[in-house]
Amino acid sequence: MNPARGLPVLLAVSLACAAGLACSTAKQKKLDARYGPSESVLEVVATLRRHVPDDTYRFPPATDFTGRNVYLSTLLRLESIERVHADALRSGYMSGVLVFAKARALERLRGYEIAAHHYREAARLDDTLAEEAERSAAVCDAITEAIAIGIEVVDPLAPESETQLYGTLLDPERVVADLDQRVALLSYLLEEHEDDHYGAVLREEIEHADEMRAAWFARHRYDLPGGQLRAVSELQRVVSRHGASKRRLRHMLRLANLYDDLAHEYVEAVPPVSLDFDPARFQDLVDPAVHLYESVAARDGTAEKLEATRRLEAFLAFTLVVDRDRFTY
Amino acid sequence: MTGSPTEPRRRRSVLLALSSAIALAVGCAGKPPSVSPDVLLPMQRTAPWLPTPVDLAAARAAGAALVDDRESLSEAVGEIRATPEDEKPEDLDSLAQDVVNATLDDPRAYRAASRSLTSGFATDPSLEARLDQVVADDPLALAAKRRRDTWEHYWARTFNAASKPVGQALLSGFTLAPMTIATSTAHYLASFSNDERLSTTHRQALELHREYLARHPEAADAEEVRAKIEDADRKLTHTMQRRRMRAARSAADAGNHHVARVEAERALFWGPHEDAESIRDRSTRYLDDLARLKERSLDAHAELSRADTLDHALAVELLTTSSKGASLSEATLRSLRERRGDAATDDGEALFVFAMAQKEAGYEDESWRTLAVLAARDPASGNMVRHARHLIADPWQNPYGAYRTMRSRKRNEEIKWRLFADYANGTRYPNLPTPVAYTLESPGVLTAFATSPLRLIFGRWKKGPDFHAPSAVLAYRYLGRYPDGAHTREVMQWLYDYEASRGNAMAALRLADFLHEIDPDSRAELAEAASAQVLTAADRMRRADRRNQTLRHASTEYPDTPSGTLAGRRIRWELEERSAQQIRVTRSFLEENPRVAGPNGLGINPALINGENDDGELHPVGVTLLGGRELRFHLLAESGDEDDEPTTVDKAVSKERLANLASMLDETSRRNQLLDPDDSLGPDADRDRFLERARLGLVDRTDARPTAQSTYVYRSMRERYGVVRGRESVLPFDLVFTGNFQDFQLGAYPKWRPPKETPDAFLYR
Repeated sequence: MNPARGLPVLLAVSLACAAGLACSTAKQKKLDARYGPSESVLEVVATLRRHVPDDTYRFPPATDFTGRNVYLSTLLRLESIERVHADALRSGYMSGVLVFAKARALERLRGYEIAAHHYREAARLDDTLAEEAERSAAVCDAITEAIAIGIEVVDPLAPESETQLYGTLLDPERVVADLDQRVALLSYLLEEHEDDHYGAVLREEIEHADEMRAAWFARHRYDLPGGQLRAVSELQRVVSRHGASKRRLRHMLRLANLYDDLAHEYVEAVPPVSLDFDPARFQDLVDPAVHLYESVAARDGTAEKLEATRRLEAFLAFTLVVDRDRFTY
Repeated sequence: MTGSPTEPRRRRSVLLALSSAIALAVGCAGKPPSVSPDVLLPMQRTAPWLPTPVDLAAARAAGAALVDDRESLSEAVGEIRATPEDEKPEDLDSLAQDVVNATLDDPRAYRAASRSLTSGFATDPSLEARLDQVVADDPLALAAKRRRDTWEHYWARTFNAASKPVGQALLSGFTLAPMTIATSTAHYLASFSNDERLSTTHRQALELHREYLARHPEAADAEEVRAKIEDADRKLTHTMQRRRMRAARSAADAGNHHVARVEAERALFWGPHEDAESIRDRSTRYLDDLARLKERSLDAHAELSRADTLDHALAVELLTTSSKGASLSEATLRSLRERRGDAATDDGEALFVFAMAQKEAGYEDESWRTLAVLAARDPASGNMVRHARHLIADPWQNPYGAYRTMRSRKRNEEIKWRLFADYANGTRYPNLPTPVAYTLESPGVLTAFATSPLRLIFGRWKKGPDFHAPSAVLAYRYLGRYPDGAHTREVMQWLYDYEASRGNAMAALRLADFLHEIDPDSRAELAEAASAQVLTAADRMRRADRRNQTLRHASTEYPDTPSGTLAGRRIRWELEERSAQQIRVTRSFLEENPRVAGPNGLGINPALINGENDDGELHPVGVTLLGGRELRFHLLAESGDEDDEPTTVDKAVSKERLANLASMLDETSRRNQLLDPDDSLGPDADRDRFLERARLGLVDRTDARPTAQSTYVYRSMRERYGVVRGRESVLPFDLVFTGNFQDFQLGAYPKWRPPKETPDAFLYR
C-alpha cells in the first residue's frame, strides 16, 4: 500500500475507533449515572419523603427510577447504606434518621411490628425525632394488634397451610366476627388518623380484611350451606365497599372469575347435552361474568384491562362448546 | 314418514275449517266491523285410525334397523317395495332405503348410498335436503373445497388486477392505460408479500385431512392424505414462525426487549430458528444487564457525599413533617433557596426538596418547573437528576405533564391521519423493503395528501378513529389525583368538549355540573341527551331486569327530561305487561304456514287470518306466547287500521293445544329452514326450552326468571325480505363502476367475488 494513501486511511480508522470508544464510554457513563449506587442518606430520605403522604389506597404506590416500589427500594437502599457505612455511622448522628426512615418504608410494606420497633429505636437514638417516632410507634402497635385478630392469608405452598385452613373451616360466624372486630378497631383508628398518612394505610388494611373474608368464603363455598351464593355476595360486598380503591378493578375481576368458575363447574356437573341442563341458569352465570369482564376491559391505562380482555375471550370461547339450542349469546 | 298417511286427513280438516270460516264470514257480512269473539276453533278429536300393512312394515323396518337385524330389515323393506304405489305414501321407498343405508358402518359408504338415493326423482324435498347435508359432510370433499377456496382467492385477485385497468382504459381512453396496467400489476405482485405460506382456508383443509385420517387410518388414500398433512404442517410451522418473528423483530427494534424475548420464544415453540435464538439471546442479555444495573442502584456508594449537621437537620425535618405533608420551616426553606441555584454546592437534594415544598404549598407548576431545572442537569452532576427525570416522566406522578404530552402526540397523529388517511400508519405492504413499498404507494400517498382538504370538509360527518382517548384517561387521572390542582378547570373544560364531541352526554353533563358555566338551556339539552343515551342503552338490553334497572336510573337521574319521563312510563308498562315469555308468531307467518295456524297447530279461527276485516282480523303483530298456557291474540282495532294499537285478547289454552302448537311451530320452521337456507330459524335456547317443555305438557309452573325469557319472533319470508327477495347474483362477479382522484379516470369492470368465509373460519387464524 502506498504510505501516502495509507496514512489518511489509518487516521480515519483510528478516529472511527476512538469515536466508537468514546460513544460506548459516554453510554456507559450515562448508565452509571442513572443506575449508580446511592451517594447520600438525604437522597433516599428526600425521595421517600415525597411519597409518604401519598394516598396508596386510591392510587398505586409510586415507583422509583428503576420501576421498583419506592417504599421497598427505599428500605433496601437504607439497609445498604447501614451495611456499607457501618463504621461511619457508628457515631450515631444519622442512625435515628435511618431507622425512622426505614420504619416509614416498612409500614407501607405491612411490616407494622418491625416498623414500631424501629420507631422506638429512632426515638431512643434521636431526640428530635422522638415525639413523631413515639406517635407512629403507637399507631403501628395498634395496627399490629388489630390485624392479629382473625384469619390471615395463608401461603398455599407453606407446609403448615393446610392445618391453618382447616382450623377455621366450619366456623364462618367466627371468621366474620373476628374480621368485623378487626375492621372496627381499624375504623376507630382511621377516625383518629384521617388527616395523616395512616389514613391510606388503615383503609388498605380494612380493604385487606374485607378481601380476606371474601376469599375465605370463596374458598369454602362447597363446604358451607348456601356457600356459592355467600361467596358471590361477599365478593360483591368488596366491590361495592371499595369502589374508590386502586384495587377496584382487581375486585371486579375476582368476582367475574368466580362467575366464570361457577359456569365451568355447572357445565361439568350438568353437561349441556343432558336433559337437566338449564339454559337460563347458565345464562345467569354468563351474564354477570361477561358484564364484569367487559367493564374492566373498558378501563384504559390499566394492566387489569389486558387480563379482563383475554379472560373474556377465553370465557366466550368456553361458551362455544355449548350448543346454540342450549345457550344463545 | 308417519306424517304422510295423515296428510290427506289434515288437509280435509283445514278445508273443513276454512269452509266453516267462509260460512261464518258470509253469515257476518252484513254486520259492522267487530272483533271476533272466538279466536280459537274447538279442539278436534283425532279420528280413529288403523295402520295399514305398509305402515306395519315401516315400523318393523325401523325396529330392525335399531337392533341391527339386517335380515328382518331387508324383509320389511322388501315388503314396502312390493306394495303397490297407490297404497303407500309416495316417498316411503326412499325413506325405507335411507333406513337401510343408515345401518352401514362406514360413513363413506353411507355418504355414497345417500348420494345415489338423492339422484332419483320425486324424493321428498326435506329428505333430499337432509341427505344433501349428509353427502356434504365429507372431510375429504370439504378439504378439497377449502383448498379450492384458496385458489379461488388467488384467481379473484388475478382477475381483478387485470379487469380493473382494462375496464378503466375502455371507459377513459388508452392514454393512461400503460401506467394503469403497470401500477395494477405492481400492486398485484406486491400483494403476495402479505400472504402467509398457509392460508386460513388451507388451515381448515389441514384439520379436515387430520379428521379424515383419524377416522379412517386404514383407508386406501391414507398415505396420500398423510403426505398432504405433512406438507401443510411444514407450511404452518413456517407461517407461525414468520408471524412471531415479525412481532419479535418489531419489539426488539422498539426497544421492548421483554416482548421481543417472549415472541422469540413463541417462535421457537414451532421449531428451531436461528434468528429467533439470536433475538432471544440478545434480549436476555440486555435484560440481564439492566437487572444488574438496577440491583446496583440499590447499593450504597463507597463514600457518602455529605453528612453534616445541616443534612441531619433537613432529614429530621423531612421525616417529622412527612406524615401530614406539613410545610417545612421558614429557615429550612431559606437555606434550600440559597443552595438550590448553585450546582457546585448542591447535589440536587436542595432543588428536589424545594420542588416538593412548592408542590405541598400548592405551587404545582412552579414545583414541576423546579424539577425540570434539576432534570436538565447532567446526570453525572448528582443522583437527584434521575429522580427528577423519573418524576417528570411518570404518568402517575405527573398526570398533567403526561396529558399535555399525549395530547400533543395524538394531535400530530390526527393531523397525519387527516393528511394521509390510511397511509398515515405506513404502507399496505409491511413485508416489502420500505423504499419499494413507498415507491409503489407513492401515487396513493400523493392523492391522499392532495385530497385531504376534501376529506377535511366532507369527512367531518364520518366517524374517524378516537385519537384522544389516551389523553382523556390521563386527564381523568389528573382530576382524580389533584381535584384542586392548578389545571383542574382547564382539564375539565377539555374533557367536557371531548365527551360532548363523541356523544357521551352523560359524562359531559357530569363535567358541566362541575364547571358551573353552562347556561340552563344548554344544560337541559345536555340532560335530555344524557337521558336519551341511557334509554338507548336500555333498549339494547335483552334481559328485562337489567333493562328495568337502567330505565329506573334514567327516570330517577333525569326526571325533568322528556326521555326521563318516558323511561318512567316504560318501567310502569314493563311491570304491568311483563310476561314470562314473549315468543311471537306474526299474522303473516300464520298465513304463510297454514299448518301452524290450522287445527293440528294453533287452531286459530280462520276468520281471523282471511284478510276480511268484517269478521274480525288478527293484527299483523300476531299471537304472543306469554308463558305457561297463556296466549295473547293481537286483534285489529275496531277502526280496522293496522297502524292503530291492536286490541288484545288473552286466552289460556289447554296443554294439548299448546303442545300441538309448539310441535307444529318447531317442526314447520325447521322444515322451512331445511328447504330454504334464507328461511333460517335464529338460535334461541330459551325459545327452544319453552317449546320443548310445552310439547311435553310441562308448562303449569311458569318460569319467571328474566334469563328464561325469549323474545323470538316467527316472521314470514315476506316480512323478512319483502315481496321480491334479494338474491345473490348467479354470476361469479359484480359489475363495478369507479372513479378516482389519482388520475381522474372512470372505470367499469367486472370484479370477481372471493369465496365466502365459512362461519368457523375465525377458529383457524
